Amino acid sequence: MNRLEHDPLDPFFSPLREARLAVDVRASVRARIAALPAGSARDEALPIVVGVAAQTLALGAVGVAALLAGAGAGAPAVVRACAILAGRAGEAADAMLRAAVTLAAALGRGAAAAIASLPAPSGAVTWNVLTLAAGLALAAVVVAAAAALTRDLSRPSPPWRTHA
Amino acid sequence: MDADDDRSLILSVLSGRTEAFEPLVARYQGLVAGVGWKLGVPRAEIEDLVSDVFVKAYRSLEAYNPEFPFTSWLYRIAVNASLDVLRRGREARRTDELPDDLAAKAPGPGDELAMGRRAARLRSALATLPERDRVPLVLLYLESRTVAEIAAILRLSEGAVKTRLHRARARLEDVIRSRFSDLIEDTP
Repeated sequence: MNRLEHDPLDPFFSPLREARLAVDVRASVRARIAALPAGSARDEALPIVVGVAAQTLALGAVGVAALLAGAGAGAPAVVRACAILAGRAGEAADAMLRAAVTLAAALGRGAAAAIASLPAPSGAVTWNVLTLAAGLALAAVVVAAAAALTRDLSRPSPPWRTHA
Repeated sequence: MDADDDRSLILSVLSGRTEAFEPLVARYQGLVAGVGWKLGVPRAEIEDLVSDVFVKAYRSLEAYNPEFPFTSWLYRIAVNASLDVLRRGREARRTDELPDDLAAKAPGPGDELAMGRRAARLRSALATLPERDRVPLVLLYLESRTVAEIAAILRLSEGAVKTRLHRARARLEDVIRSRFSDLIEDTP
C-alpha cells in the first residue's frame, strides 16, 4: 500500500507536505567531522562489538549464577539426586555446570543478536564499561559458587556413615 | 539523486576521503530538516538536529548496508534523533511545569513564518498524536514514503505499519474534529 492518489486525506496534508525549510549545515558538519579522531567512520563499530561482547558475558554470567544459585540454595535435593544418578557427586555438579554454561551462552547469543540489530547507540563506551564490570563481578560470583558447590558434593561421606 | 552515486560517495568516505561526505550532506540536509520539522521539532532546533544527524551518520557509516537505499537509513537516524529532541523538550517542559499539550499546540517562533497558517495548524494537530501514530503518518503523507519503506525505516513488518496507520488516521480524525475543526472547513 502506498500513498494513494485518491486517498481523501492526501489533499488534506498537501500544505504541510509542500512546506520547505532552507538549512545549510555543511560548514558545521565539516567542522564537527574534522574534530573527530581520525578514522571515526570506521571506529564506531568497535565500541558496539565490545558492547555486545561485554553484554554477552554479563548475561551469560547472570544465567550461570541464577542456575547455580537455584541448584545450590533453592533445590539441594535436585543436586543430590543428580549426584546419586551419576554415581559421583563431582561429575553431577560438573554436568550441571556445563548445562548451565550452554544455556547461558545461548541466552547471551540471543541477547547479542538483539543488541546487534539496534541502531548504533550513543554513549556506548560508558555502557560497555558498566556491563563489562557487571559481567566480571557476576563471573566471580559464579566461579565462587561453582567451586563451593563442587567441593561440597565431592566431599567423601564421613566414615561413620560408611560403616554404619 | 542517484542511489549508485550515494553508494560510491559512501565508499569514498569509508576509504578515507572525508570530503566525499559533503555532497551527501548538501543533497539530503533538506530532507532531514523536513522530517524533523514535520515531526514537531521547533524551527530553532532544526539546524542542530540536522547537524547531529549527519555526524551520527558519518560515525556509523560502516554499519550502513548498501543493499538498501541510503535515504531509508538516513530517515531512520533522522526519525530517532527527532524523537530524542522531542523527548528532551518534554522533559524540559516538565521541569518548567508547563503542560505538554499547551506546548505542543503552540508552534515556536518562526514556524508560522516558515509556512502558511493552515500548515502550521496541521502540524500542531499532528503534534498532539503519540509518536507511534505521528511517525508513520508523517512518513506516508508528508514524506511520500511507501509502506514497505516505512516498514524498513521503523524496522516493523508491513502489517504492523498498516495497523499503525489505520489507528493513526482514526486518532487524527478525532483530534481534528474536536480541536482543529477549522482545518475541515478549509480543506481544498
